[in-house]
Amino acid sequence: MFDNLLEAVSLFLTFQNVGILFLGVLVGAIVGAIPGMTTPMGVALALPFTFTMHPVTGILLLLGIYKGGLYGGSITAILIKAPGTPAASCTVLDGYPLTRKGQARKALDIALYASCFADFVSNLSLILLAGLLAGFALKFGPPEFFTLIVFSLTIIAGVSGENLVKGVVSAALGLLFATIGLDMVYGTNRFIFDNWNLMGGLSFIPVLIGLFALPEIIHYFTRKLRDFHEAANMSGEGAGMREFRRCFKSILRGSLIGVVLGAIPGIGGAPSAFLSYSEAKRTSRNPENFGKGELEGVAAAEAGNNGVAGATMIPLLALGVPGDVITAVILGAFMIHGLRPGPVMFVDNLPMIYALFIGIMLSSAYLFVIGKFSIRAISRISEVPNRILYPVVLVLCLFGSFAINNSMFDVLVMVLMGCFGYLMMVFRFPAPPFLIAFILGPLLEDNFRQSMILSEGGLGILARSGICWFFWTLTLLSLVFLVRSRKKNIPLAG
Amino acid sequence: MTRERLTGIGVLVLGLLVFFVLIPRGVDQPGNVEHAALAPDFWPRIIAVVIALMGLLLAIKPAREDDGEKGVGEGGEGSGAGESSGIGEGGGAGEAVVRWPQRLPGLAVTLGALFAFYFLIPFLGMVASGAALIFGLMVYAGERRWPRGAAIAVGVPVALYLFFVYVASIPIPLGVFESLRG
Repeated sequence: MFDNLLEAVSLFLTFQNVGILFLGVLVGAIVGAIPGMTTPMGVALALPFTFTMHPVTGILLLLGIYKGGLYGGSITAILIKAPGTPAASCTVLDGYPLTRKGQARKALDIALYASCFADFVSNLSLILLAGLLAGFALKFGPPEFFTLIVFSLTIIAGVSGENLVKGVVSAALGLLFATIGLDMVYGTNRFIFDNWNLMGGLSFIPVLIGLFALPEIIHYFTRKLRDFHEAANMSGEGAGMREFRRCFKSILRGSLIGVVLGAIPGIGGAPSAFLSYSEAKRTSRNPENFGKGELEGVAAAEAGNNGVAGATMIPLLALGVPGDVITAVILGAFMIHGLRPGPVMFVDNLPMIYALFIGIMLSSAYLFVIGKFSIRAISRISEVPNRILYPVVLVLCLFGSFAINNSMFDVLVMVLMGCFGYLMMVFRFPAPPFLIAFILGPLLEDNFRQSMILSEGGLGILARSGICWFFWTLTLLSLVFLVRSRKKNIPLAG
Repeated sequence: MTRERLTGIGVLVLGLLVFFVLIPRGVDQPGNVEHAALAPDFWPRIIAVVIALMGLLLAIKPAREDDGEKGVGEGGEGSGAGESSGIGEGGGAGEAVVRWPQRLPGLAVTLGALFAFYFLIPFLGMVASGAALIFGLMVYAGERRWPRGAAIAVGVPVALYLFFVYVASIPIPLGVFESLRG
């Protein structure tokens, strides 16, 4: 244990890691603050830059962007009523009225304090729980993993947007695209059609960039081209310890709500923020002030939103299954570096896990520093006109896609996936289920077929143990919860 | 026939097409498959059935038409509420709904520029093609500060080239400018 920790410290403590994590949080905060840019888009665009980095450095960059993005979304939510993320739409409820009252600085400060505190609590939960869960998962065989992946696919219900059926179609298409390439058992061709570029399957990054960045860019150029930016008005005094103490109960409650909901695949930041907000309102002495510029409302929303950040990493690191879209992208990043998160990683690469934990803890401090000292600069950068932003992002996409394998074929895949993603957008099919299924598809099929080999074709093996039954039950419960949440119009998987 | 119902029929046809055309033609079957569940076409067939069934469901019970009509017309820079979808669909501050015929020129320009970029790379390389792409799209989108536009158009691809070549050691094609490589 101690040796592993020492090794982790030496693995983490390089100028490169410490610097890149800071850069990641900063870039994430900027991306989150730019309306029209999304955190998954930011993570996707950064991915090609991590190829030649050490895996720890590369993953830390992506994690930094993730955490920065969660907070950055609140800046424009408070200042110009334009939430950078769905979760930040809860922050708008009281953040923007505070800005209208001339207390923007106070709202931004309390959002920052709540975000950092919740992020810290969430990171602690990750460190305490991931190892325990991974130890339990060491007992898993292919049938248990199959049922686990089926359970994690229920997150599709959470990221399907307004129409679950379309979400399922999108996921099915993702599973279908994941079958392209050589068959894993027999080595025969599947959907290759004599194109040798397809023998290894579609590369993850062109698919990711094509689906998450290109449709938004194409969409921009097909609209009435008009950049709209409301000037950010950062007026008033800041918040101090007094305000933090006043909101502490809501911040702590929101952090814990975030941890619990974040650890469950498919729920994410938005419902956590709204639940935390409604609890704060319910228990407040002045519930009538909520929605009119109540500081505690901003604190509760941001604590709930950021409380999921570390917790969504628990299923990813311990079980190898993503909890939301961004952790799905990070799972892809692990795979690109030849690593497979999950229980085995806790045995084979423990120092690396600890090094990531150290970085994750440091990211909370970075978030505070960046939020405290560069909010004004970030809000100015977020005013960059889209007519400049989108062409630049487009070229970034093209360079990034080429750089994976030095292959023009990957550029073509990215462009075609972009067109496909735009079509999905036009017909209102959500992209996240496609991506999650595309990543989990091979794992699902591989574990299913291994189970079939073990049982000589008997399906009964998929319910052979208590663990299998546990995951089947969780799948059922999760589906019931998600479907009921949808009926109540609770936004999911932010 | 509503747009959503037509979408459902399209999805149903896609599922059937995958099941009856793409799988038989695109998935090679080995002769020694012991169990049906291990066959290479087992998963694709299940997926095709799911797609077809969902298409049927969409066709029978389409989403509310107003949702469908809204389409992508109300996306906007305003909220960027696309964290989960990756696609901004939000408040649309400062943007009016744009009907399809008005979208086509922009769509043609963007897709034309993308494919032109792809086919120009062997001749002009990624840096020059990238600069042309950025400048062209910026001007199309309304950028009128030419010096600033030109500086960004040249600076971004050059910076990316320098990063990938000298930091990441990934060769970036320069086309006819290959002789300039240091």
